[in-house]
Amino acid sequence: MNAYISGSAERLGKRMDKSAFELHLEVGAAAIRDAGLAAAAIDGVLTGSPMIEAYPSFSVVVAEALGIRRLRYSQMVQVGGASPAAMVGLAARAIADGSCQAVLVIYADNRLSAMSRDTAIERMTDAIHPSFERPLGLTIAALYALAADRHARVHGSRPEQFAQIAVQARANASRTPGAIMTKPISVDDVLASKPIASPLRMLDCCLFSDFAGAVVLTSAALATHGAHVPVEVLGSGEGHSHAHLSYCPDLLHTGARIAGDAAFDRSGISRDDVDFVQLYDCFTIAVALQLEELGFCAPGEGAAYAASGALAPDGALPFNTNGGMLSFHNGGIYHLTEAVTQLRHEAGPRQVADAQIGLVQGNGGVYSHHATVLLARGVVS
Amino acid sequence: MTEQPESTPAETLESHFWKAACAGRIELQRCPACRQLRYFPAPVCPSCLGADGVWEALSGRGSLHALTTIERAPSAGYASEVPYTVAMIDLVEGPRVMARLDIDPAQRLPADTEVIFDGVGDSAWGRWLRFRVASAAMGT
Repeated sequence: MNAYISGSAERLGKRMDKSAFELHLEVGAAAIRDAGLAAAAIDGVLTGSPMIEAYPSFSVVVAEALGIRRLRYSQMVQVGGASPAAMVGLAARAIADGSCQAVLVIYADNRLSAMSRDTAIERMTDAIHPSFERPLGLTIAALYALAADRHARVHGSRPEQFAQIAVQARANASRTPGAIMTKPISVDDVLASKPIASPLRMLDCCLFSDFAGAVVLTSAALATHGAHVPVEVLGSGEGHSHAHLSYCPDLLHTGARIAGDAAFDRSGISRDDVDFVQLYDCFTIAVALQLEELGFCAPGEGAAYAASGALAPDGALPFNTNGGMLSFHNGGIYHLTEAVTQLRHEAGPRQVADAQIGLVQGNGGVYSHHATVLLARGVVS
Repeated sequence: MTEQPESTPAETLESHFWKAACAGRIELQRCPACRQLRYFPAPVCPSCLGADGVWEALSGRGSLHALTTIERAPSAGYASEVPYTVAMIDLVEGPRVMARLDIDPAQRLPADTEVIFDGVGDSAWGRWLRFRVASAAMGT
């Protein structure tokens, strides 16, 4: 479609010690510069919603501070970890239908600087139903653990298969400058790590950190002002089957299938065309389910597929090439910026050879919100 | 200061549910139009959008769908309770509910293990349903 990611920026650091507002401005400005544009060229701004600095009309507050004066489109998108991919889908459509020329997408939060990890874990339970779920003493990890338990009961998947996902993520992070967790781990390390909510252990869970990243989407006419190869948005989709897990129709089938099918249908490409995937790895079970729901393996085979080595850099489907949320940084925005880096062929030692097409998957809430984006190394004619 | 007469708070859908649960019954609303039971208690039927619901006492029996034993508490208020087990339970009448399951965490329960409602617990963030393994299923 006529929509290209022509600017990209990320800021790294476990604790960035800045306000969420400052982080938005910093990466927003960097992404506009990376696209070779001036703020005056931007006519759309999308942001998420910072957890602590909740602020009305936050996306416009960010826009005004960046000197953007003629906005045609600005929204805060609140679908948790699916927000970055969902925002790219919204921005691409606004550009493709002519509503906007250049849309800035920012996702940043000082989630660790502003809160301790304990407070963050407690705050995240706000996504759990206040009367019928949260009083049970649930964490987000426990709700994903229910799906992992169900997966084991129905499909016979084993903890050591899920562990392989964390092991591969760590190996990838060890090749990525700025990754937070880089010391290689083994399957035994995962299985011996602290129990969190059975069958999930500490190393099945993503790390906590601050996060900040931004991309600029433009029409073809504005896609070549920067120094990088533009990345075309081939298609996108969203899927939401429930907000609270008690309403989830089936723990092993989620809106990821709706989102993925829509993105592939709109892109006109097949699963075999995808050179790498950036999957939302809040927990290892989430990766296994996304592999199944996105159609890269049969239902029930996600854990076995991951354990087969398919996700390695030289495997059939390299995944989370920077180490993802399991080992690189929290947030989900880096799945997107990493996909752009890969498609620009600027990933250095972790570059997927001749990467032409990549998939970015977002997942928010309690596998409630899903968004898929298919991206291609661009050819602007 | 004169005594104010105590006003009785109006019954809400949630307060009805918990009042029944505390009295030992799981009650859910059945839609008179499409006959579906709904969970959570809600003013609109999510199966047919009907606006009515008639409370019905259920058997309290169900089967295990999935469980997790929580070792890492969500907040300080739950730290003294770990480890505890939370399960999704398919009630024999249809709906799936989330509840604490009163088992030894080391116990391995097969899927579809029969469980039965066993009262209401109360923790830092509010009340919850407790189930236990039905006696017929013990020892399997």
